[in-house]
Amino acid sequence: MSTAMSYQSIYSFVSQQSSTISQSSRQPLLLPTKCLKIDSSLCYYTSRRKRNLSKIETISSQISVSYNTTLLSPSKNIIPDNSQKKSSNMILRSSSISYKNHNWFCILTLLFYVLDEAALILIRHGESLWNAKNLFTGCVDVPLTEKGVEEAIEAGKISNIPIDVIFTSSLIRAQMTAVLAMIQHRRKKVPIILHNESDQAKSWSQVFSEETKDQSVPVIPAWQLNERMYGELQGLNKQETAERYGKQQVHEWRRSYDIPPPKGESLEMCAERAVAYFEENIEPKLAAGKNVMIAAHGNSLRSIIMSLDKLTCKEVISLELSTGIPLLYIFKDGKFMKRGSPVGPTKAGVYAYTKVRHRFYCSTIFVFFEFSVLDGSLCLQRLAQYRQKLDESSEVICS
Amino acid sequence: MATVVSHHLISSIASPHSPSNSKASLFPKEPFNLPIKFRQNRCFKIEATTASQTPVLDPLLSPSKTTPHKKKSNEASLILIRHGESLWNEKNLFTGCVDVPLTEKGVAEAIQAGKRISTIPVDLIFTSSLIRAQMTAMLAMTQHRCKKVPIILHDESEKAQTWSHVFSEETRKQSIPVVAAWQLNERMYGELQGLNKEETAERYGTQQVHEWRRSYHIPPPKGESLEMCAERAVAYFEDNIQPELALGNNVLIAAHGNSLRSIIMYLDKLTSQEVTSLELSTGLPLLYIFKDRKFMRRGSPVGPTEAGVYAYTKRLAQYRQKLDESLN
Repeated sequence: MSTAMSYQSIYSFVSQQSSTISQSSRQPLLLPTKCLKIDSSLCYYTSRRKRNLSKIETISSQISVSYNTTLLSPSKNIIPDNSQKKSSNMILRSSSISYKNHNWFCILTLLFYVLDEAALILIRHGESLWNAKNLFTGCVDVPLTEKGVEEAIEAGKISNIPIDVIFTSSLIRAQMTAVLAMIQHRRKKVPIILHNESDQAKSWSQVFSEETKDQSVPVIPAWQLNERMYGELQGLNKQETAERYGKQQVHEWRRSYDIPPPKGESLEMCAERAVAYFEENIEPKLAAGKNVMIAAHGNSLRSIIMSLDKLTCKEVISLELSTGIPLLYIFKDGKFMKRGSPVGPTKAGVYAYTKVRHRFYCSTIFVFFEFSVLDGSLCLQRLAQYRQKLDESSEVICS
Repeated sequence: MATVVSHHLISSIASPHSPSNSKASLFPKEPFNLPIKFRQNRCFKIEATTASQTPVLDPLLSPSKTTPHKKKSNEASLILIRHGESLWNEKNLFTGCVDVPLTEKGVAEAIQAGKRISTIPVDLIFTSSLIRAQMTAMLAMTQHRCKKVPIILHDESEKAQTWSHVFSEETRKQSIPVVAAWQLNERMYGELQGLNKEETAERYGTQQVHEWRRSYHIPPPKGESLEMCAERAVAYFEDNIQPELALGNNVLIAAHGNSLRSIIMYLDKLTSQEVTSLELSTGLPLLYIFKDRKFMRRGSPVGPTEAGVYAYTKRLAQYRQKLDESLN
């Protein structure tokens, strides 16, 4: 049975709404204090100088809601100006979410950080020049076609989750995908590729401004995330390969888990180095609460997904990943929860991750058709309104 | 001059040069298997060749297809492209060697540049190790009419080399090797990297900043002066790029403002005064013809949609004609 993953979730794309937000519709986000978690530092009555503020700010800065651009500036000084003179201001007031426009939903998204959850986004690069020519690519460093470039840019548009660190392979098609996606990313941080190949490379690429560093997302290239190495098939087209080796043999290499092509890697070998890298370098970041994006290749990503979803060899062989469509996982308590793939920005909808808990932690996340009991009648009201609005306007697709 | 051979790009040049035969690819036929020590200085030099001989860079590799002689082309084109807008250009921050990517506008500029050079032959591409230059080269080549595929060579380790090897002769012929070299990087701006103009003026004083930006010799703190940048860029050019041109290979260099100015200073024999005031447009390719060991500046190619046929040399005209014919 094919476990081809066709991810369908509902996804709310704030930007559609943001343009309709008007300044005059500013309303404070009325979340009862007891609903707010986290050291009470996120209590909306808290003054702006509490510790987690900068976190929220950084998060909120990516929200399109910041039509008022200084909303919560990512700098540590917080303070969006307009309504900010009053010290009793609620942190989130400036986000000016109009409930009518779903944007309060986004505010909540920010607070998802406080839950010690981290997001993991996987993106497979788009069409490369050899894909277009139907040649086995493997680790040959072939760039993207114009279509692949567009796919990468599109991938960024539907990604609304703030990214703290990016991992890519050492091949340019994955790196281009990562940086092109970030061009569209709502947060507007600048991805910067780290260079560690020599001491000189390291010192030469140093950044000397704290503020600039805060506005940057490090990009870490790693050969361990490269595509599976196809050995002597690299550069051959399917016909040539069938002629050279016989159809049967080729089919075996492509469909088996542990049989490598001559001088190449089997899927098993690829999985070994990719998953090892993931466990040693990426998982610790997630555990520390950083949101991670991985832009890589079909086989290295499958290997990682095999580890995240605990798939069997048979299942992973038939796993097909769409190109240019981000996949989201939530990492929490040492576990990975698959959360599907956002529907494109042109479709209204809500991205639904996890249930809202009884103690309302202000996370965005709620399953579309379920509500836990929420504290605070206002919350409930808003949610109901929000839900109604969604029902009216969205095309909801559930898997 | 040392003739350490650490890279080979030219495996064999098969056919006599004529517009109707395409040259055999420069793509490596064998995975590199040179000992690491040869690669440490990270530059590759070609053994001096006699006029009629095919150069063999790698002594370990015997070319499987050497022709007894190759009619050496006496002319080669050199295209220089400065990358377009990067995300820090947009924010007005000093970038230097920080590896910041292009904006959408920069992507569009690269594609435009590619359209302008779509009928000029390219056999070999050199870029810096920074992604904005590499992307510029890749995007430009998506527009090229030869439809060859640029492939970045990886030599950071033996494994990287063997892993990136191409096993089909036909595919190699349709490929253009891309060499990434840190020596073509932007001038390293030291402690100014990441600062904006305001911050810098505050920190160091307007006068001082002006001096760093406009002088030839004076480096910013922990950074490179234009002179230092020129030294490593021109040295790389002379050692690695010029020999390729001498062999008749057409080269594209996608790099940065300061590294390209340095090279132009060398090509046009500019003084240090002249070079500090030299401004290179982004995304507008510059063409030079290398012939008889001299560089002739040919300005900026007119785009393919613009009326008029330009042919800087007969050879280029023939190449363009061949491309036109192959479409029909």
